[in-house]
Amino acid sequence: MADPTKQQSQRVVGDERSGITVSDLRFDYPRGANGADSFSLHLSRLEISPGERVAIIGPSGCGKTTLLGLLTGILVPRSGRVLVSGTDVSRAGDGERRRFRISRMGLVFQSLALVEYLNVFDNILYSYRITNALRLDESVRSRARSLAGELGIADKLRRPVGALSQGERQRVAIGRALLSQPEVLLADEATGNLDPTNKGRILDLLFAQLERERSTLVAVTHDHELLPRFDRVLDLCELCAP
Amino acid sequence: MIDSFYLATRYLLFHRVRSVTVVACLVLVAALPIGLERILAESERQLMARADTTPLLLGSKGSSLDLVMSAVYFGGQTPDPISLAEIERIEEADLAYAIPIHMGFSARGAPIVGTSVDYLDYRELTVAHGRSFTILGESVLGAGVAKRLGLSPGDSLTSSPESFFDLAGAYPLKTKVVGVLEPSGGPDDLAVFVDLKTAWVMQGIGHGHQDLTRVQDPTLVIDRDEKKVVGSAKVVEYQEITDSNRDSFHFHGEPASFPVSAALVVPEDERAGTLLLGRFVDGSLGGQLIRPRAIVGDLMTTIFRIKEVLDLAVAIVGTAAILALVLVFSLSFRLREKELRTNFEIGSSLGTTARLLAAELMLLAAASAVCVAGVLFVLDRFSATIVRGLFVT
Repeated sequence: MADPTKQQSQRVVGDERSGITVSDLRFDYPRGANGADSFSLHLSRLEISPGERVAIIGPSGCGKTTLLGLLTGILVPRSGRVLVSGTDVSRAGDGERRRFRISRMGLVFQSLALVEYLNVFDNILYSYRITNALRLDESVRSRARSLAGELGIADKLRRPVGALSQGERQRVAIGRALLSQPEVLLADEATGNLDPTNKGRILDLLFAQLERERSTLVAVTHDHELLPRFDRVLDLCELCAP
Repeated sequence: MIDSFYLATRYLLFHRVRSVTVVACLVLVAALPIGLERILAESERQLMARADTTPLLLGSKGSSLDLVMSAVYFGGQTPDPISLAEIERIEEADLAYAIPIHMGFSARGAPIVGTSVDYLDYRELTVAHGRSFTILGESVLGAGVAKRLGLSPGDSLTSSPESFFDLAGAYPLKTKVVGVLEPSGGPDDLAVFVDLKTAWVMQGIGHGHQDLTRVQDPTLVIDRDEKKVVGSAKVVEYQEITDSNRDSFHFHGEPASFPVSAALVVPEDERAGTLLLGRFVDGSLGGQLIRPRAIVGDLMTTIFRIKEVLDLAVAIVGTAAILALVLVFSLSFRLREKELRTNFEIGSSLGTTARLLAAELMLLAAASAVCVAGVLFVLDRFSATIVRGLFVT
């Protein structure tokens, strides 16, 4: 079996206007007040082409989630540059970063971060309800219903998310991330809680959606069985400068 | 903003117990002082209106407040009686006329007022159904009593015994309802009116029984001579006054000594009233003659003094409730920290998050305001009845 970390993308490396480009990125977590160790990340160069599917692997604590945070603009680097679809998220103001994130990115959190007091349908629509950058209309609702059907949760749209299994909750989180047809989807263990059957099904769906929208996928995963399905696999430990 | 309200509504419905508790707290904090204020205002209005139409009140010496509350509002303690002779003395002065009021009995929770038809005329009480009482054993009901008990002319109403333990005292007397009064909006709506003599029969001063001069059963008679017949305990007293036994009812003793609770004294004019009051001050007439308006004025002054203390207590409780609500919200925001963090991570603006929380507060405030308005609407609608019920017992 070929080492998945050595796979190379067949795609053309993207330019700065549509892909993701990271250069000389430095980020530090100071020593925590509770005595937690300090953490620093230094990434000299990373380029991801538009439409490319990239898996990021690495041992726990090496900074995979931090990297996603930096790519989304949730975290701000000490220095360096993060260019996503032509937007320099490392230098943009807070408001611009938020607007960029909600309108052009899809996020699947490790914790799923579903809203407990809403039902499945409202959770899928949630991004549209908390911003003026996206407009919620009937076409969006229709797309949400169709997406729920493809995710296998169409019969549970009116259920509170608290009444769902973990796998179903994960599918709701993916539905929420895909609804806005994002240019870039960033997923932190997006299929972590799914059984093998559902895992394959959800990945198929995810990739089909991304293919349709020509979206880029950056997924953090520990599941090495999935790695052959990605265009490129990056080991963050190898990627980071010493 | 609509989506903020939608999300806030979903949140409040999901946490409905907490939401209802918060709304209930807000409603209590807001409605309690306002409601209290309105009840007090209505109390003052009713008490003063009634006092204003009762120029003078004659009663026994003692608590003037008890006298007013009993004879004017038909509530509270029944004062010690005065004799009918004292009322006659007032009228002999030729300065006023007096209407006797006999209190102390009740029927199914409604006070029975023994008086004369002059009382109905003076209070401008008109009969809505039937007619006024004219003979012994008849009663006229206030509109509220008739409605509450579902009685109309032709029905009967029995007085309650004065005391279950007073074996020698009054027995229940069944009266015939002959009329129902128009609603007056005052204590008269909640009272039963009978002739003064009927009240005396209830008290046991008058009674009716078999004609002992004609009875065949010798065990009914203890002693008999040319002047009188003494009946035994076996003689059955009538507990209902009917056409057939009405003539057998009679009173023992001198009518001038018969008791009344009070008398509503209507002077010819202000000067006559002042002169009459003077005669009670110098002791030439017994009992006490009072101006109910002055007594009620003093009562209201005391009530408002107590209300000031109550206002302070309400303010303290209100402040404590508001602080508790602030604590609830701050804890709620802490519990929602994860959700707010998610909003930030997805890309929601600070303004949207603030709008979401503001919408929640606005919805709670709006729900509370609607409930407060509802409570106050009900209170306004029924405050007159509530206040009447507070004073008429």
